[in-house]
Amino acid sequence: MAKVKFNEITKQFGTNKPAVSNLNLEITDKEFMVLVGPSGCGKTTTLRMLAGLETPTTGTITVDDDDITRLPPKDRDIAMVFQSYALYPHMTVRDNLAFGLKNLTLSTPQKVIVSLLKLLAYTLLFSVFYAFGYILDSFILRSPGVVFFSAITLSFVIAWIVYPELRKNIEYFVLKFSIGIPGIHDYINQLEEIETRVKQTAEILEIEELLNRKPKQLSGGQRQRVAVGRAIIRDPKVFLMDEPLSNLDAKLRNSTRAELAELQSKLQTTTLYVTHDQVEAMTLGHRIAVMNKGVIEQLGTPSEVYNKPRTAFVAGFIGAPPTNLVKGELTKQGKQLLIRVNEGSFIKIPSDYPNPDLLENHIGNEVIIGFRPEQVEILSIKDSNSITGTVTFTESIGSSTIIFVNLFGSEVRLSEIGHKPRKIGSEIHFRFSGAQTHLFDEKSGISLENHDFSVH
Amino acid sequence: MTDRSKGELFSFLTILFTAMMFMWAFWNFQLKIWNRVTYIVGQWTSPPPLFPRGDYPTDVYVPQILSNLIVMTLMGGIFSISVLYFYFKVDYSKGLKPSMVMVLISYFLWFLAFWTGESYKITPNNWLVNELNSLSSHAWQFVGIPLPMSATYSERDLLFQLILNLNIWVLFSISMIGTVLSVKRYRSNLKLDQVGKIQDKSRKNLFQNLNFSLTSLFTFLILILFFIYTVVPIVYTLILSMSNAVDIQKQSIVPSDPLGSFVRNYSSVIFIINPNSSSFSSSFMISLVLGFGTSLGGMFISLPAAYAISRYKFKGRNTSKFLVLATQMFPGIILLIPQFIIWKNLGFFGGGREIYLFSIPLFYIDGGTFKLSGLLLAYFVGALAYNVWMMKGYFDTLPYDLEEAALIDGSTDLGAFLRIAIPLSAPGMVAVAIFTFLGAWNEFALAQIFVGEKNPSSSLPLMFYLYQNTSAPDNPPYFQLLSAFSILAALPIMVVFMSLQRLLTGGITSGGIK
Repeated sequence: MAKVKFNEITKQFGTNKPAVSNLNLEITDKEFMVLVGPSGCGKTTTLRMLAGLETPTTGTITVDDDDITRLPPKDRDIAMVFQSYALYPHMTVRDNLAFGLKNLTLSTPQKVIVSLLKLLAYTLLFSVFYAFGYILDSFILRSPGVVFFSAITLSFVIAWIVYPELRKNIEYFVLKFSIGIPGIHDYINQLEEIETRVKQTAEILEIEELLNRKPKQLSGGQRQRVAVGRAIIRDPKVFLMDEPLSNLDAKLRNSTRAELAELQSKLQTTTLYVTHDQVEAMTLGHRIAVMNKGVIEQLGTPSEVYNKPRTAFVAGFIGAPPTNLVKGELTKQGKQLLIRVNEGSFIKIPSDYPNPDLLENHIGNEVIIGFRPEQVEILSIKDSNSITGTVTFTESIGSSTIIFVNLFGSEVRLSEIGHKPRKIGSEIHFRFSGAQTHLFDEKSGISLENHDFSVH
Repeated sequence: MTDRSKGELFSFLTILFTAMMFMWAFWNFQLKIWNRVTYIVGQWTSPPPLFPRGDYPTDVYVPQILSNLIVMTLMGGIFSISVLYFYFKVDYSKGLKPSMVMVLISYFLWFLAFWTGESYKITPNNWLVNELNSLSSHAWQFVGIPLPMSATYSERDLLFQLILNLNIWVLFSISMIGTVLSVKRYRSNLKLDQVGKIQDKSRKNLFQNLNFSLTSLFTFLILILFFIYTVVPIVYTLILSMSNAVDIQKQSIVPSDPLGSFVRNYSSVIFIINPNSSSFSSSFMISLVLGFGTSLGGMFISLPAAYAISRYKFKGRNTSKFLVLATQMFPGIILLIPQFIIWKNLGFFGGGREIYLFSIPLFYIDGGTFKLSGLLLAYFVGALAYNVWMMKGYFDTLPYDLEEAALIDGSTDLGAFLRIAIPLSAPGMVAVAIFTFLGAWNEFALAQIFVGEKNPSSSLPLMFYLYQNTSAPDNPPYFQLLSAFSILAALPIMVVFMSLQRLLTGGITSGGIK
């Protein structure tokens, strides 16, 4: 139940170029927002600024209209899944899950009282050992502290270090015997509540049987689940996920991706997800923010980003294989709009291009034409609207074939369903429809079409 | 190490020590009742009492005592096995674990030690009495801890003391060896991600893959040479410690009576004291206190500094790093005189403004002075730079992700340090602690200036120095005793190394970070 707003956020490390510059982003309540971009584009920095691990140089971040820009991470009520999972390797899964809850729900006076009690108990235990060893040594050796004293106390210390059950038992007895002290009863209740929450979370993620294991006894997928569990158990205002699937193998990644989406729709928690994988971005996000060099290039739903890329970068980044981008000069011959790639080589802009009037102002400018490989129609014979290139290489990916084509000196890729044998060096004819043609200004990279959306 | 093996180790230790305490309780307080019980039980089983003493006849049948030993061993074993089974839920469906055999063996040895101790006692006029008498004629005071010079003790009393002490030392070493062996046993069962794999492979393939080319032969020759250089002095010390005066005079490598000389030399070193100095046992304890104090206290001081230097960026970070290192650039002996003056002004040598708070823990074993406290402080200072730099290096290798995760999970910086960074840096801490322990254990120069060898609270190196220098001109130097002393002084270090070796293997962070 939270909406997050980045206002004019800039982050600069040292005197370098800013990692994030002047970023404005609003994540609405219950939204699954995906930040996608190539590595080094500032997406992780943005995420870490929301988490509180970095402080923005200028600008403010608000959650539910509360300014959290300068708050320490612990006061933000935000949970994060790390790319490396960052499970605490010395704790069991149960302790990993309970760690955050214990920190946040137990009050400081309670913790102080309990730790004082523990200290008292250990002092008593130790003094008993001390006295016993001392007396035995004095009686037998007449030199206190040589054998029994050191043996008993050392063995206790070693046992305490090596054997965590012992610690837990001592803690349990301390709590049991001090139940009359104010605050201890609540403390025990809260501990029990935490335990039930841990079990519930484990049920949701189907990791009940792993609760007593250490992270190193888990497989990659299980670790990922525990990392997610550590985030959801706290029921935070915002989830942050920093490429949580990048360490899984391809098959597991697909299934976990679906599970994550399902989990988010079930929990209805505002989520900010960072990835460099555009497939993840397309499938998971309610909205996608495509970032490049510290700025958001486009913000929109997956279909908007796919069908109406605002910049040439977005067009090139989203889609696999990426959109073909060919540079050229926009010219007009009679009524026909053309892109002049080289001297004497032209790409016709399809006649059903939706709004050719918009292009009138740009005639004579350098532009980029973009068309998606999978939206291309491959023709068997040449016709008046078709474009002709030379096959340089083919690549079969099972369901379809990617054909690398030399088009007037630049390489484009075409996607064709099925697998037809094609001779390298042979000519290939294809065309694409006007609705699927994207034109961008070459200098700014921004689309020439007046799409009705804003960046921010 | 699995929980189960931890449980076994822990229970093994506790049972051993609990049993030790119980046995001593029987020995000292319950002996009569115990004898009565065994006498009554003996009506049916007819073995002699386990620990013949007092009114009971001293002629004991060895087979019957052996049968008692076996019964006791089995009882102890069954007790510990059942504790393991019922309390620690150890699964025995796949048969008895080798570790349990280890427990049984150590029990057997343990009772055997009791029995042998008794057998000395029941033989009058044995060699030990003669040995003690001859030693006492050299003005060596003996038995444990300073007794009044005027006190006279019968042979029987002295012997009783001696045997008790001997037993304790035997038990102590047996239990330590047992601990080390069981730790080793558990270690070999470990399935570590990397270390285990490498170990298994090397173990299997060491002899298979031996390739006797010329270069490898050369390498082996060099290695063997270095091995000889390292090992021969140690072996020679061992041999010397098992020789008697005649052997040493003859310079024979093979001791004529190794076992007898062994027992004589070692027991002499442990139980005989020079009236001007401390006893071996109190020196031993003081060295232990200095060693553990230096490693623990040095760690306590240096960990926060190392963490801050490793994790935070602050003004003067590099300067402070360098300043810490700069203290290591002087040879320690150069700083001795200024240190001595400063320490004197601080009041560590009496008659000044004593640093009470720092000195209280050591005041009592220090015989009412502050010299040991001052020495410990000097050791801290010496260990600081090394600790800070090593621990900084270790913290650098820990992924910061984990602490960031803890910060997001609601802990403060201090919480992340205490609950994430410190537990994860345990292997590094152990490594550093071992080296500072070693440094303090072996340190001589500072100790000689600050405490002096003719002090009741002198450490082991000082005592060795004293022994070396107090051989009277008309007596031959006690090389055998000095060697035994060296071996005994080296023993704890071996124990510390072996028992903490497990933590040195690393691999503790594996699994947290993909």
